[in-house]
Amino acid sequence: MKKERDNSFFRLEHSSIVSLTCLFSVFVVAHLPGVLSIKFYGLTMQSWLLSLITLFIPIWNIIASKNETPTS
Amino acid sequence: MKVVEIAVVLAYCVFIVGIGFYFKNRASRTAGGYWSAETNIGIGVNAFALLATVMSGGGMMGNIGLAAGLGIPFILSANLGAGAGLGVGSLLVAQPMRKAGAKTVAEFIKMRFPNRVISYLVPIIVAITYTIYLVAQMKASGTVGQYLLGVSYNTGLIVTWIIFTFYVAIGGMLAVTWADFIQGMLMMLVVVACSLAALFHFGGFEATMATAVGYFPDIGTISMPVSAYAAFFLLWVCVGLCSPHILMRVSTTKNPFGARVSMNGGMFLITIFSILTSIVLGAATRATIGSAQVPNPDAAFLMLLDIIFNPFWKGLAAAGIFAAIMSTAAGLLLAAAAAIANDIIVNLHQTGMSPEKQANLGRIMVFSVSLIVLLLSFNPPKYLTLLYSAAMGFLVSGLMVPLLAGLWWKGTTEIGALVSIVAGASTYAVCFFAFQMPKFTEIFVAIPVGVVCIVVFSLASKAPSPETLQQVEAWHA
Repeated sequence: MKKERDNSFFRLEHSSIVSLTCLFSVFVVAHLPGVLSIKFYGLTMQSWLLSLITLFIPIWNIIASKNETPTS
Repeated sequence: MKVVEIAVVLAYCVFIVGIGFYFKNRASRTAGGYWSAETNIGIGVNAFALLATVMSGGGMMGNIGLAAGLGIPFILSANLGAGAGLGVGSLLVAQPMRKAGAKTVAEFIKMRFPNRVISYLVPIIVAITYTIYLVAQMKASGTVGQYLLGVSYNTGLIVTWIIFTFYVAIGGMLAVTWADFIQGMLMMLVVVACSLAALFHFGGFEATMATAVGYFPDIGTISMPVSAYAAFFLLWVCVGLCSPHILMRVSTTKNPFGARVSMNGGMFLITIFSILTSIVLGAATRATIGSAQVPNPDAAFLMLLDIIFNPFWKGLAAAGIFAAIMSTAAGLLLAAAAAIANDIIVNLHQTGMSPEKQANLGRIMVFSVSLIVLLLSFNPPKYLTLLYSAAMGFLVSGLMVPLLAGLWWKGTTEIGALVSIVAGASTYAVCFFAFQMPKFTEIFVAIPVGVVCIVVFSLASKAPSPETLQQVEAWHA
């Protein structure tokens, strides 16, 4: 019998999907025309938003990793 | 010659060479010890080593000059993108790559796609790209020597070359990782100290920004097409995601968990470092130089150092800048040498090579690649930054799609990967040389071409063997 070809994807963990979605959403929002024109301390909101999300993602990822058992 | 500054830099250089000697014996035993630091590096050490590897000499000097000259948002986008690349890499690449146990990215791709052409093509792309990138780092070291230490360009170049080649060659990845850890901490110390001193000098963050905006009203504004900012961010996400000199760090960790956490630690440190260099020091540098044009952006930061620091701290800052240059150069040199020694020559050696011989071959390759880089650096091309950015774009266009598809899509085949590498890399080259496209946007044509090719040719070719799929499943288990 001919075996069916497997074209499926491996599944990402839930926390990884949250991380990637947050990063992508903030990246898109940061480059919207209305957001680009807002300034805080003389610097565009695009810079502040990207800075905040890149500070948040590693903290979230590390907290999520702690729920997994380390393997060697 | 500036005696105090030179004395501090020399003391630092002796210390770094000492690290190479300390790890000499352990690195000599096996190829694994030489290229992967015996897979025994802790999370904190690896996170600081990643900061030092990603943030090059450009991160210390060029970024601050660019922020002061072209505005903060442009260079900040690239720096934050480089950090984000590590975070995304920790989710998509780190764990499976560490579970696979590959020493280099080329070896990892070869495990997934056991194809003879791919096994030579990938290391050739890596070796060419990194040789160009290394020349850029060497040029930066000559410039620092000239401006900060008062020695000639060639003297700065040769001293840096001797030190980093020496500790990479004798100590391998163990010496590189521990030297990078110390260099990463020194870079962070210098940047934090400079930021505090600058804020104190100008009367706090609000006053510093207000002074900078007074001299250069567009310093915090998006003044170029938005696509250039978005592309600059995404280019560096891709670089962080698939660069061999960054992913080699994954193989040094104790376990897959350590690989993932240390990459996120690296991302956090890079973000702090980027905010301090691009926002705080960029604004302080503009406040120092006033409304004048920046004739040499790379040297603008040195003008700030002149007014906020005494000679000892200026020497320490110079050591920090050299640390940034040497740590990135060391990582690049090791990756380029690994590509030739481990992935091409050992591959060609049909009868097999003893682990000790492989480690010695690594040393010979480090010296050979390094010598070529030194010769090219005496007379570097004028637009070197553009050249090495283009080289990184070429690398990303060729390798990122097969690396990710091979890991996450079971249907990816050897033929699909091979066509994707060739099509992605050559589309990038055509866009770069034949068309006048906005900066860094060539990857937005090359990467989709790579994706289409890998899907179409994978579906049209023979499915991967059950053994290969089983192996990939084990990496995700």
